[in-house]
Amino acid sequence: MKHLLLPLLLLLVSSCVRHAGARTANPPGDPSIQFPDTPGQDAISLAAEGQPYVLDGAMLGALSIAANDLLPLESRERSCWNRQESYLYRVLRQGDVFFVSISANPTACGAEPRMLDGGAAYAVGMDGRILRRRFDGEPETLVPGGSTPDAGTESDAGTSADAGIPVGDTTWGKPLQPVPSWWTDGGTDAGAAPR
Amino acid sequence: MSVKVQGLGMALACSLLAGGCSSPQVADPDIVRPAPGAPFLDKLPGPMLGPFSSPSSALLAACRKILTKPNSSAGARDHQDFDVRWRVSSEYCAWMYYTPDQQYVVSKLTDQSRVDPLQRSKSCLLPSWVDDPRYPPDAIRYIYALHNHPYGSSLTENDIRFIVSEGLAHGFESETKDGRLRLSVVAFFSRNASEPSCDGFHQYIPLTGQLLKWTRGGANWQCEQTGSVRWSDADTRTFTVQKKNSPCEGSKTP
Repeated sequence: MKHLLLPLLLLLVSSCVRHAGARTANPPGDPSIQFPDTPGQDAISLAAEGQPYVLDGAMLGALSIAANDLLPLESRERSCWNRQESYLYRVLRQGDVFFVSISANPTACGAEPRMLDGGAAYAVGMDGRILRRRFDGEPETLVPGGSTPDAGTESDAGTSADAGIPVGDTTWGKPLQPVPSWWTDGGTDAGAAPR
Repeated sequence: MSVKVQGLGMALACSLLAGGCSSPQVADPDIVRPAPGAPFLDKLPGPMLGPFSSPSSALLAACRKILTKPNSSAGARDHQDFDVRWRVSSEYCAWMYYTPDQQYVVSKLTDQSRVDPLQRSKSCLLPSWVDDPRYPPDAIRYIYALHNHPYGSSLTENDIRFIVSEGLAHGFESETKDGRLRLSVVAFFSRNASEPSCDGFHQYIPLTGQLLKWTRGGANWQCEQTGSVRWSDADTRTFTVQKKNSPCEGSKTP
């Protein structure tokens, strides 16, 4: 396999691997490291029941270090969203770097409100050091002025209106054919309005 | 400028000392939050804005309102205060919904978020339900899940998964006087942190898979499709994003 790409639903027990050490507010930043374009490629899910999987220690360590950085011990248990098991973990190894992206599992917290943003991406070296970290919403690059923000600038905003499409209109696009079957099966996300 | 920098530094220091998880707790009638130690809000009160006769007018009013809230924008990356602005920035979220009397309404805002002691991570926990006492809960139709991105970045995996889960709960489209409106998630942004204005938004529409970016130049708006989302057919919550930039086509499907 060219890339080893695994999304994981893991309960990461921090005691089973070495701890990453103290967290820092400042982002570790090796500007030479670019995050891969995820989720630009399909991933293999390790959720199948009855199927054994093998995970090497370095990968488990990288996952644990990233998970413990996003959700350190002192912040856990305040709510369901502060528990590591409430997240999805995607890992991609490229050379000596593990790229770990962490996002909320929308089915994990039952009736609690679901999360917009709040995920993070990590690049972790084979020695367990966090080489780069980017929280949801942060700029892609580390160098000030090194990129055009996604918000764009006034000068590239364009001056012509798109005639015929009201701002934000959702009715003009071609619908997916077919929609994923689990969208119509009635998922676990539905529920009655709280009283 | 030095005064401004000092002010931002003080704001950061205060927020870190407080150890809170959201913006300073000021009394703003537009914003609702759980009481200290209480669970997250599981419904948002409405209305805050409206009624509006069109979804666009409600959307743009919401954009202008959210971006006036404290620290809703971190501005440009190359600004000398960006790091501090990012640290103290906040996300606010709300619903735009359609009522039984055929109006579009925006709920109140919340900035409740996952606890991060260092305030490095930005998030907004948007309740699935709006409580507008004028209408039965099941009569409300959910149109846009609204929030802001302080840096104006693209929609995240969490945003994309979020709106699909809401679609499973509420339906992916709603019959309105303006046709069948599809559910979408929207992230507003401003280019200017000191004088924020509604300069654009990112949008994802699950039923079409479209990732769109709307930007404003003066009085004109421009729409660009930046990609499309393809979900796996198995219920593993995995998807891929195909990036492509193309103009939005104006022709409606039948």
